[in-house]
Formats: sequence, structure tokens, C-alpha cells
Amino acid sequence: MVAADKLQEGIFSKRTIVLVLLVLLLGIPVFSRDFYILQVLVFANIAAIFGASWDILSGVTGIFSFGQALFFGAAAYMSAALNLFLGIPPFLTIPLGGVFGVAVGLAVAIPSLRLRGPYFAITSLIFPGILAGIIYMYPSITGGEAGIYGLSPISTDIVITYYASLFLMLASIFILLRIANSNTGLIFRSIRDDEDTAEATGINTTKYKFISFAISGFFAGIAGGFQAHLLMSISPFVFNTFYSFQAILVASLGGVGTIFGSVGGAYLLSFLNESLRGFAQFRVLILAIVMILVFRYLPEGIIRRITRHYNIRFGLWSGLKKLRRKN
Amino acid sequence: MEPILEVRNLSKHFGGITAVNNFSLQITEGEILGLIGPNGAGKTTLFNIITGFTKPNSGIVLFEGRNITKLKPHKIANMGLARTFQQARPFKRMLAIENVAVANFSGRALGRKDRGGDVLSKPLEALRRVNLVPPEDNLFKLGGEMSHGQTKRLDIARALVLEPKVLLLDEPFSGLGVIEMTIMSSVIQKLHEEGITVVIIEHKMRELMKLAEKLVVMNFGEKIAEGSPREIAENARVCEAYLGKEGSSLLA
Repeated sequence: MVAADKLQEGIFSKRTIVLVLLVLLLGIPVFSRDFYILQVLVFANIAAIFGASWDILSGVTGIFSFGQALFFGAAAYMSAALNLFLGIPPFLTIPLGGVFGVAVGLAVAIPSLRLRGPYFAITSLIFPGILAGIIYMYPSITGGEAGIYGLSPISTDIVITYYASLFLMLASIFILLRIANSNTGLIFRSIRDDEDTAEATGINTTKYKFISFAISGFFAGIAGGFQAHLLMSISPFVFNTFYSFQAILVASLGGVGTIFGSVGGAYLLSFLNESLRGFAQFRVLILAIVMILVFRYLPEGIIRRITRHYNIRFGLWSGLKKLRRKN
Repeated sequence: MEPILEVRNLSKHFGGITAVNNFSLQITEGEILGLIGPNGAGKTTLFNIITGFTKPNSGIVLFEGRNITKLKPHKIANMGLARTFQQARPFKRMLAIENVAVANFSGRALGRKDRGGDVLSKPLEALRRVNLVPPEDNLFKLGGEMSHGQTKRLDIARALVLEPKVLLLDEPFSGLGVIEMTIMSSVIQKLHEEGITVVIIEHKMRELMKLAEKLVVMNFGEKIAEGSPREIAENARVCEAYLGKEGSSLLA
């Protein structure tokens, strides 16, 4: 990549592209009120938030986690409990679930300080399992293996549910993008690239790792809470490794470290998943082959590849552009 | 005069190996001190202990009279004791200017009053001081795209944004070409003239002999000699342990 490329823009301005996509997403219910299509899109929106929450921690800060389902599931259970036992409505239980995700994130951050790189990644794999184990142990409170049923739905109208999920996804992605490209994001990226150098540069890496875990936990948490209310139930299956890998897949298909890549990744994965329904037992195989091809030929991610001429920077970037123009 | 940096009776064992053995050293403000010795003598371990990356088994590190032995690396850096690593360690996926700008968000830089609104001016100035800019194109190179020699200077530029009082350079000349070595020499010389205390670990004796005012020789974790470059080059014990028979020829 030539240095100049990094500051060059593509044919269409960023604003145009974002506007077109926005109109498209907002307009979908005008063309189709089909329950199935909208439901799939709602799940895609949840997956986008979930993928982006993994991306801020692993893609941007470089703390590779295989256990993102922990935040998702823990918050989903918390939202479910708040709704079922205290009667709190979904629009409050979902953010409160996110807050619980922060608490869980901070707790998980502690072992990450000692276990670096692959050691933390492997350790993180077992965290969701531990929580699932606890849930199995107390079936009278947690519902055990069967889970909890009878949560309030987001809305009985799928169109409203769709718009709620879309709004939540857009807001989450916008905030995460702002963070990833702020000065805090700059520090996150420095920790990703070389933790010791960051520390030697006077950066309190411990503090910033905690911040990254907290942010990641929050957004994974609201995704979990939303899904619990969407399905009106929650079971220990949310702690399945499958969910952790879903976050990684979504972010990797789109482009690790980009945040917005997760949106494309989530829609792409949902589209593939649904369009391959006819192939029944071959579905997972075909999905796996597609992914291998993507990772082999587009390791930076599909969405990142398409948008490689575009950069989003809020922090230093405006100053850098001025600097570029001067030279 | 009170030393700006002092280590007293430092010892560090890794399992059965003694990396640093009852080592003491005083560094005077404003000097360039060279730290030499064979591979495995404990030089880098000493740097790691001073900057908080490794904790010693015994002994203390004093910076401006304050005991910093137990402080975390970023706290020590924020006091004005900066370092580079033996292997150049840029942030590979960040632009050169971003690489350096990170230091602007250190506690030390944030606490500075004259920081102003422009977060880029200090990093730019630092890149100029290490001769990476001009050309301005270098600002927009990724850390991973830069040459080895450039990343060595990028590491120094990052440290400079901290406005350090003491700079510890771990083999700044290693792997550099002839021209790059000349640039590096003049960069270090300039920093010295600006009043920064510099400690250099180096195997390139010709370059170091020209720069350093004082040399300290380590072997098996112990200090075996200390003195001016001339004294060291003519020291029989140093020649035997490290420099070789023709030590004094290095002075030419």
C-alpha cells in the first residue's frame, strides 16, 4: 500500500455511501413486512453488535478472546431475571444487562493482565462454560438446562422490533467507531501492536485494558439482552462456544479491527446461512468452505477490502489530513 | 553532585542463573554513559530492572533520589526515564506519526501545561529531532513498512515526546548501515547537547567510544571496570573479557 492511499477517498464520498445504506436499511419494511425476512435481519443486527463488541476488544485492543459468549449470555440472563422477577420492561433491562456485561468484563480483565496472547485466548474459552455450569447447579433460580421462559417481547409487531434492533445496532456501531478512532482507540491500537512499548511510553496499559473489557462487555451485553427478549426465553445454550465463534466470524468476515466490518459480516453471514437452508446437512460444510476462501484470499475481510480507500478517524485524523494537504 | 540515576547492590537471578550480581552504578546528570560487555553479561536485564519491566531480587533503583524499584514501567516512564528496546519495536499497524503521538497521551504529556490544543506538534518536532522528517512522506508510513534504521529512530522519537531527563538506549546502532550510523550518532550527540542524560548499551565500540564520556563494563552480571573510553580500552581485564587484545586500536 502506498502511503498516499491511506488518506485517499474512493469515488463516492463516505457520506453518500452511509446515507444510501441507511435509507436502504430504514426502507426495508416498506418493501417487505415478511416476518421471516425481518426476523433474519433482526438477528443480523444483534450479530453485528455482538461482532463489533468482540472487535473492540480483540481486533482493536489485541486481547484475543474466545469467550465473548460469556458477556452475551451473562447479560442475557441478567436482563431475563430483571424482567421476569422485577417486572422491569425490556427498554430498561437491555441496557441494565449491558451494565452487568461491564461488571463481567472487568472481572475477566483480571486474569488477562497475567495471561497474554494465546494463553488468555485459551483461558477465555472456558469462562462461558464455568458460568453455564453455575446455571446448571441452581435450576430453581436459573431454570437449569431448560432455561427461563415468558420474558416480555421487544414488541409484538415485527416491524417495530426490526426498527428497535436497527436503531440499537446503528447507535452501537456509531459509538464503537467513535471509540475505536478516538485518542483512546489510538492507545488501544498501541497496546495491540506492542504492549511493552506502550507501557514504556508511559501508557497505563492495565487501565486501558480494563476500559476495553468494559466497553466490550457492555455492547456484548446489550446484544445478549436484546436476543433474550426477542426469543422471550433464555437457556444455557447462549454460553455455547458456537456463540463465541459467531462473534469472531462476523468480525473476521467483515474485517478485524474496523468495527463497521461487523455489520457487513453479520449481514453476509445471515444471508449465507439462510440461503443455504436448502442444502440441509451440507450447510455448515459450504459455510466453512466459503470462510476458508475468504480468509485465504481476503484476510483483511470482505468489507475492509471493499472500503480500503476509506478511513474513519475522529481523533488525530483531522489534524493529519491538514498536515497531508500542507505537504 | 547527586546522581540523577543510581542503582545500588542490584541482584537478579533467573532460576540458577545470576544475570545481575550486586551491581551498583551512579549516573551523573547530562552525561553520556556507555554500558558494554559480552552477550549475556546482564546489560539488558539491568535496563529492564531500571525501567520496571523486571523486578530485582535485591537492591534498589533511585531516580532523582526517589526509590523507583517497585514502580510499574509506565509510572517510571512518566517520571522522565524513557527507554528503547534492543529490537526496534514500532507499533507496526500504526502510522509513524501515530506511533509517536501515542506518547502524547502518557500521564507525563497530559500533565504538561504547554501541551496546547495541537496534539501533533510535539510528535512532529520529535520526528524532526531524530531526522525522520523531512521527508514528510515518512509521517504516513506504517511502523511495519519502515526500514530497520528508521524504526530505531522512531523508537527514540516516541521516547522524546515524553521529554525525558534520562534516555536509556539499548543497542541503538545494531544492524544499521554506515550512513544510518552517522545519523544515529549525530542524533544522540544532539540530545546530549540538549541536556538529556543518555545511557547506551552497545557492541559497536567505535561509535560508542566517540560518543560516550564514561564507560562501564559488565561481565557475568558484575561491574568489572569503569572509566573514560581511554582507560577502558587500555584496561587489561576488559581486553581479556570483551574487547580483545587490540582494545586500544578502537580509539583511533
